[in-house]
Amino acid sequence: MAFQVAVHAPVFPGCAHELRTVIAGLPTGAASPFAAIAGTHYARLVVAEGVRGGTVLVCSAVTDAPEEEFLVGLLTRTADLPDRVWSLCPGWPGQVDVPRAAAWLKQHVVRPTLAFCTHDAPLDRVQEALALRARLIAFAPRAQDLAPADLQAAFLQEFGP
Amino acid sequence: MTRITIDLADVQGNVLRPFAYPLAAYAFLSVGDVDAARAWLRSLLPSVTTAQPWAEKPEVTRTLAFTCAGLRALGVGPDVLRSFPAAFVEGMAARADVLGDTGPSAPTHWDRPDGEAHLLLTVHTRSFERLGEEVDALRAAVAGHGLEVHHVESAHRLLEGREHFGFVDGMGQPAIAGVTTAPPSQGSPPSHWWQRGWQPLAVGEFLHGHADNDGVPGPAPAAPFDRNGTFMVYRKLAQDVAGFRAHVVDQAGRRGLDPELVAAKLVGRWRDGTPLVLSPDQPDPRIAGDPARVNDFRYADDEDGYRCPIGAHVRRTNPRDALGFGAAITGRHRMLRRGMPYGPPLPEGVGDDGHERGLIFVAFVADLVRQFEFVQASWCNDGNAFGLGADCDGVLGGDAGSGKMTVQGDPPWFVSPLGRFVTTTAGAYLYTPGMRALRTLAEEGAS
Repeated sequence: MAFQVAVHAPVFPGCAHELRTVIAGLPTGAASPFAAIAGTHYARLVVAEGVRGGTVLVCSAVTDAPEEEFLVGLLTRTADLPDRVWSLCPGWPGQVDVPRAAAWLKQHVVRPTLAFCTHDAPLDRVQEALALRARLIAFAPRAQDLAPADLQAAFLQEFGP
Repeated sequence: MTRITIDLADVQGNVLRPFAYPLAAYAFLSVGDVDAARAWLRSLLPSVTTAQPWAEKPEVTRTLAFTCAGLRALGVGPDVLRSFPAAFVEGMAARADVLGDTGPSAPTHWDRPDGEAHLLLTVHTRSFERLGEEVDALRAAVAGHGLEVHHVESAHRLLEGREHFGFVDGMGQPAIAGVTTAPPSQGSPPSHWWQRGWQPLAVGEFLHGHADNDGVPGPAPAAPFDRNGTFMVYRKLAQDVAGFRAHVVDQAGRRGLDPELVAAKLVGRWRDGTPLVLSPDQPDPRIAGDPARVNDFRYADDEDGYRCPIGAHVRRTNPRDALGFGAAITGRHRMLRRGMPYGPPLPEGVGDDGHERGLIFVAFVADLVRQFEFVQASWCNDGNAFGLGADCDGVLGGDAGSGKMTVQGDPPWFVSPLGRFVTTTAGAYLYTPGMRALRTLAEEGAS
């Protein structure tokens, strides 16, 4: 079971470019600040202009952690990321005050009706499945010229009975 | 139907319609003295070729484009420069990771940093003699005018319009509403059931200041660059012809197939241009030779890729209706390609002769990221959009991805391993302004 989390926070007028620059400078992949929150399948920050007449910072994630646990992880495990991005939003209390910052984030939570990705399995099962898929993809071209008996033997050797 | 009005006198030539000359020279220049450089620009303006129809094809054409550094060097102010998209400001070399220009294609290996040049003068003509005269005249003209010729690349059409791997190239150009009177199949398949035939693309997909396929003008730079200008993608792509041929023969030998079939499966067309989806077993000169038929095909009827592999080069770069919603998706990612091969052709049966050869890839787009970078990154260098996992383009190859190409069939088979047959050796993002903007630039810099 995975959860979808989305936080939509208005941005101070004129700060969209600065916010985009901050986000563009964030590391991605395994070095992403979001990777420090256990059970994160996927997470991203997007600056959306022209939303209700202004600019909105969208933080969306699919995670094994329930919403509140994910938000606390965001505030405590991603170094200074929250202050760097949400300090450009009106009312941000600062991440040093975790309960108030978490409450502020919850005020800006919206309920997603369509997720970028969703899984019925926890992250470790998804990663296991992806690793198996990668092995199968690597095996297929290697084995494509084998005779049926040799193919079966190679398959069993690679993946077990 | 809305009448589309384009001031062709304000649009530089070769953008909306190809010049179709056999020879080209790409002269990259650097600005030293801004006033002297503007004076040279003013002297050149009357001979810059526009998109206006010709009464008679001229002996020579000249068009101009500028890098971000070039606009800055010519006095374009910071407020105007900020209105250009980040990809243009950063330049192509800085976008290497997005574009897959890694390994031997990494900018650190490029011939020269074209993005550091300031402007590109492209000359098209019919004879090598005239091309040489033009380049000599340019060198003489800029001497003492605050400009320096960074370097010059020349390119020339090969026999039958083929590129160096031997395939007829440049057939699938998009038709543009209000501009192109090309065969109807040069557009995009209809997006809605009530539309019939092929739909031309909106001019705003390629020119700023006009409605695009979304029905409204897309993002454009600030005035005076807000109308009738376009971004130009310039890439020098070296082709390993001997390597490609050997790879095709090797892969065919492993499967007991005709090497021509393997080559066609990689590309998605037979060498003469016959689309695999129309003729999967052999080239058909009746199709290849008929402009009304050679592009009149769709992929929705070949959903499984049994005729044309889903990951074939031409199907990736223009999936037509394969992604659903008619052409609504594909139509947002098209490019006007105006490239030309460079270097001598490698005769059949000859191994690598040490000469460099390849393609000067030139494309015009209104949006560098949505059009060029998206096609390169999401459709050529990845297979996810097509349900192909990490498979990447089997012709462009490279080190990324799964290292294989899947050829759907009964049974399917794999081209594996993939080689690297195309290497980026130079590149730049440039802006091709409209004529009014060009005049402003030449006179006062546009601050």
